[in-house]
Amino acid sequence: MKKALVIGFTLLVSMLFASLAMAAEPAAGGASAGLGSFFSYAVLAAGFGMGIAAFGTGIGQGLAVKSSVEGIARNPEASGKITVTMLIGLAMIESLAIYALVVALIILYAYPMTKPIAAALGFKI
Amino acid sequence: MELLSPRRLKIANWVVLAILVAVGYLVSGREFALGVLVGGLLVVVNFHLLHRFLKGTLEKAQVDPESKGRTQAFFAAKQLLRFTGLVAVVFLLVRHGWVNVIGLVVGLSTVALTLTLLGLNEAMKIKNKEANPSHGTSHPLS
Repeated sequence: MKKALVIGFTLLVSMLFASLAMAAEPAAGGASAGLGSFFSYAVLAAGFGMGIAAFGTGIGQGLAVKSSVEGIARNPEASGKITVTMLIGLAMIESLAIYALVVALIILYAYPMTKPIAAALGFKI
Repeated sequence: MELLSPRRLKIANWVVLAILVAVGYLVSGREFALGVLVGGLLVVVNFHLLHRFLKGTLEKAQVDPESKGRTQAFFAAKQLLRFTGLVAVVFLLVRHGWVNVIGLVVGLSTVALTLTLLGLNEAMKIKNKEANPSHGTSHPLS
């Protein structure tokens, strides 16, 4: 219960600061401010996406390894089969983190949606 | 041989990667196929390393239970190094746009795709075995 409260409070504080950062938009014209907030939201999305993915992956891999090691400790003869199953599970879980990483990097560096967003705001790129 | 043995998994990974690269080349051209190849190589090599580290750690823990803490620390360090290396390579690839990013994502799906396909195959085998219990035995049950 205490742990959940701490996690909830941490998330709440993160959200609060994120909204403050978003509120500090430049006082320039509407279109450039819109483009600026698009990039701000893109950076925020990349960061939060990777953070959430790392959180889930950490919990998932931790649970998988915990259960596998317990199984091997109880029945060392089944070590081979348990190891292969754990390997498969870890690879599957890790691939999710890798996807999140690639998507975050694409959002940060490849800017796939820049042209349509800029066109919608009246810019020419 | 068991279907889901590490050796089979590794061979299946390479086969699926070759198929994905060939299909990517035929459908979307050379640049896309290069992206698939690079992404696939990254995850397949990562899978090999993950297997090696896991095997080494578990074998060492069984042979020498005294050094449990040290083995765990080494495993964690190796895992971190492996993932950091992967992140660095993917970062450089995406940052400089050396490969097609969609191809890279498809290539990075190689291991997940292989494991899903092998899992489905195994599930089908079990289902068939349950539906037809005499299948695979030299003497029919009836």
